[in-house]
Amino acid sequence: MVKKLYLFSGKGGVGKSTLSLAFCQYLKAHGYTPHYTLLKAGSLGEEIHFNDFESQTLKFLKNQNIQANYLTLDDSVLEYIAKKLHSKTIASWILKTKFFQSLINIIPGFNYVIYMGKILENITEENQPKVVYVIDGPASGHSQILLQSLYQFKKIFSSGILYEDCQKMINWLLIPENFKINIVTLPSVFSINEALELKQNIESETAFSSQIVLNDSLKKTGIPFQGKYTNNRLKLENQIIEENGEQIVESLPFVPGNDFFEIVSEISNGELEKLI
Amino acid sequence: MNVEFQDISIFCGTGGVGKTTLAMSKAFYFSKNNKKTLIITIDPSLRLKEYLHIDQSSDNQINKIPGLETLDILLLNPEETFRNMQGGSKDTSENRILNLLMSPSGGMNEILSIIELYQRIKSGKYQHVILDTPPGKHFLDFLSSTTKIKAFFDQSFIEHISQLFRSQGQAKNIGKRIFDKFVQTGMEKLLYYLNKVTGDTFVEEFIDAVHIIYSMQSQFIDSLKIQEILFSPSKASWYLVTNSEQSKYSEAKSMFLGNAFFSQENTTGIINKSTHLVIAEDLKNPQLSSEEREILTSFESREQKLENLIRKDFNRILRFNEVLTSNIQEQLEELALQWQEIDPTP
Repeated sequence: MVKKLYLFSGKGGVGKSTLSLAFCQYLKAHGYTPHYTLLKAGSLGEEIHFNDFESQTLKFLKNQNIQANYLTLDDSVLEYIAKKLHSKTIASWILKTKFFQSLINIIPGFNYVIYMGKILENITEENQPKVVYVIDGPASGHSQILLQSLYQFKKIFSSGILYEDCQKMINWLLIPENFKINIVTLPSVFSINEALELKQNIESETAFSSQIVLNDSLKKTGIPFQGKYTNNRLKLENQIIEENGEQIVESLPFVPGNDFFEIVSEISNGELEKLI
Repeated sequence: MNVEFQDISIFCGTGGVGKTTLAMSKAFYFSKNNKKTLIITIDPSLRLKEYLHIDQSSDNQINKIPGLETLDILLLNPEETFRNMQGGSKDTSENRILNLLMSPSGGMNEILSIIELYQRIKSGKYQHVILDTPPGKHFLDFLSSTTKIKAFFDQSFIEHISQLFRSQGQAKNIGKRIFDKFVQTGMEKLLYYLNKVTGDTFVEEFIDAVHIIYSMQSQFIDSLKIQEILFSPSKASWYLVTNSEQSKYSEAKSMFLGNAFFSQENTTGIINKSTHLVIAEDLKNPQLSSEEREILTSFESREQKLENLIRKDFNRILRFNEVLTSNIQEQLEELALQWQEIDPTP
């Protein structure tokens, strides 16, 4: 069954954006309404601009008629606090204080708590059966912060609105029908080790369920390789699968090409059931 | 015996490009040439830690690899640095917010790393220091701007609090008393709402945390002297590590090039895990199927594209050939040889 929220995580450069976009396209083709969600880094009060890649992604999503959510800190915090205190005026007043700004900017993970709060509120309020949120997650370390923050902040705020919200979020995310984490890895030793480390950390520090997806697999292309380079890579990949096979839920074939979005579309036509 | 500090190499880049391995291989190279070398790393992968025999308990202590006597390996632990700055006091361990700030992903990591780095450079033990920076923008931001660090101590709210410290003395639980004072000085309403959002004890604890940090202001500011070294082209070499698996050069570039330290003289773009040579060789093979040729060409053109982008921004480019092995020792040895080829006499 398709869940309500997905988080794609993994080491930098493994294909988180590729796979989360392909997954959105895949869901769209199967009659769902995916919301591609990106959590913009940055500090409170900082001007937000999209880099080239993000602008191109926005264009791509528009063409595909897929909803794009680019969450920025200022808006999210304001909206969140306004909702909690039932007043936008008071919220904007609080946000203008140096105190609150420093608080949010120097405490790691605070922004993630706000982002997650906002996403979950959207999901539960809209309560549309076919809507699926897909978070193109931050790289491993930050994904860990994102998930741990909910627990950490519950500990730090021993009472109050944020405390209750963290608990609510954790409870919601723990329901297996609601949430799944796909950890993306490449067929390289470093990448798979980091994926395993992340999975283990997520399991030991939170109780959320995650699975590992191998991207750019040469083996999965089924091509009988002749070259030295391809065969060396294949050998390494086989070794990785042999050692960690039971941890890897799916391998996706390497897609040749130079255009990022063409590759995304090609992958979305493939077999992505196991990512669900 | 003291040696004269010669230079620092700083490796930057987005996550997953092979920064740590490359930085470590340069340390190997220096050490094999009998130079007193220190490598400072912050968040190595579990496997690298295993290889280096580093466990969590040895944070902030020097680690050694058998056979490389001149190489010191230091895994930074910001919490430890902070404790040392306080003269080994355990006072902070009860403050939940300070604990969070000191955690491996904490907001204080960067600034504390810089302090530790500066102290090590000053120690007179090393000719070469190599810094493996964590992925992301924050670290570079901190390195590159005094204003950021000053701002950290300069925000009006902290000034406000420090004013109050003077009238309150330096005793413990200052947060509680300042909190009361705030209430008296008309911030009552604001704090009422803040408390509603963050819970009862949070604001007090936060003020306490800020106070503890603020009391070490001079040590923080002193570490800014490191900028003289980082600005000097003869003392600092900056490397931006990329590889063609990474489609995000623009991200790496924007993170790197905004940095005030860079000039064309001291900055090098690195293409790591280069497959250029081996693929060119393979493509000569007439037996390749068209599918395989397509895959190889695709690898090749990704690297070419990356190189073209880097050429626009950097005068100096280095290429490191991919070492396809699962053995870390082999990988480091091979890369160290590649450094040796680039500069036979360090």
